[in-house]
Amino acid sequence: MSELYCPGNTFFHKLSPQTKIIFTFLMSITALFIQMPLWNLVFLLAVGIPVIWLKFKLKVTSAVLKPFLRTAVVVTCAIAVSWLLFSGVGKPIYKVYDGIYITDLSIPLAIAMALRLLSLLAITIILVVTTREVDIIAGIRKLRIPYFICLIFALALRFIPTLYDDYHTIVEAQMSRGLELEKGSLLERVRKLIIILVPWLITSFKRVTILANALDSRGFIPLQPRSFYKEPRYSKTDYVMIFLSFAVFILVLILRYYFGYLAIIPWRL
Amino acid sequence: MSGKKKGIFTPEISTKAIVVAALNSGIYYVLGTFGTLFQPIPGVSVIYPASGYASATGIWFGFWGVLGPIIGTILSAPFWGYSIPVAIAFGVLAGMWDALIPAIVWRVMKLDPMLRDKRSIIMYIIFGSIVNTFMDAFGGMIVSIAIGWYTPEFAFTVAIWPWFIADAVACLTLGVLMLKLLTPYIERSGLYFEGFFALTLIEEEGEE
Repeated sequence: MSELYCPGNTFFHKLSPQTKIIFTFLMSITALFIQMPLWNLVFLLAVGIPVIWLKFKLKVTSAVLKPFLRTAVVVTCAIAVSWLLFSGVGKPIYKVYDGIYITDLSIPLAIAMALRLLSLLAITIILVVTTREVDIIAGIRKLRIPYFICLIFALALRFIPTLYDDYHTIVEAQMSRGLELEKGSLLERVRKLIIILVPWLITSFKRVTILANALDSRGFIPLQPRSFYKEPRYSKTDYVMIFLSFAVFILVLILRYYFGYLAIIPWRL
Repeated sequence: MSGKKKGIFTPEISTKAIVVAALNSGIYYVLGTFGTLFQPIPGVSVIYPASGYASATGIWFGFWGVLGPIIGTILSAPFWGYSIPVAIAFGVLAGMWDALIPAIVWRVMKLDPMLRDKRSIIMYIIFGSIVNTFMDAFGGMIVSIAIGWYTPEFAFTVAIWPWFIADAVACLTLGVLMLKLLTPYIERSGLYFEGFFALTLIEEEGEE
């Protein structure tokens, strides 16, 4: 995640991490209640314009956005196949195969779902591009998630680069002995992967005892109450942002369930 | 304070359990990226190695092994380009089952983690490779339907099978090999958790 963070001094950077987490969750849930292409487009513009602005303002590289674009393309294809051929609602307008029809509702539904996916990705991009991983962890702690869970997140993030380093060291050692990981049948590849995995996992498990002893020697007790040197605080802007996020969420719920807008198939998300 | 023991014991999470959960999350994250090694067609993986690992960690570490697939999935969301709330749903409703079912079955039925007897092998095939991965794929489909990626018709006729097969094959190949090859090390190094939560009892200090 740290590779995705882009330093800056924008409005989003100044928000506290817990506000951005609340915003991310509320907006993601809100996106799930919108199921009409026009409204999905409005929502996508609302969350997508900040992403485009951040891209130019922070000079976000395409490497940061690449996984999101890849997912957008792959999942949009799946959505297209799923909703165009298997929507099961509306009047048939084109027969594809026996029992498989494109209906009058399947095209708008496929567009709505694709736009929803893009909205979800845009919301996550705002969070990960403007928030350091340590701040995200501080944010979830501030949201009263038990400390030991936050510690697991923090330690796991600390472990990932070490695990990659160990893995590459072992792969290079095996390759220097003639191992070709990407060649051979499926079973052959599994056997080769095991040759890598066993020493890699044993090296990793050795770290558990070392780290656990280090924590114990400093008197660490997981469920004890703790105090922190640096506490994330809420500013006025944070309160306004949280209020607006809740307001949008409630407005969408009212529009959908009281006035019957925003949905092509009211009985499903 | 005299520092005399009160004789009151409170359950406490061991630091080893926390570090194990963190390491599992990291390993699950890294193994998730190995799926590309088993892609006959780009984008379609026939083995998902992280599932095989999750099944083994459920057996070794109980609850602390179950946290690996959940936290690993959440952490890998930006890597795969997923939305974080969606990744949480996938981790809790799908990935978790890979480790949770074998973790419970092994502790309730007191099975052998090294699969040395017939009963353990049969139970591993049923609960460590088929039922857990089916629940994983089923949970994944429920999340995919809820967020609008798939229709129920597409999810349960087409999409569920590649997911289930990739996970089940990983459990039947990598999972078995890991249990056979690594269990002796895990037991020797004191990392095998016999209880599901592996809580330790700490005696409170204070005036008697």
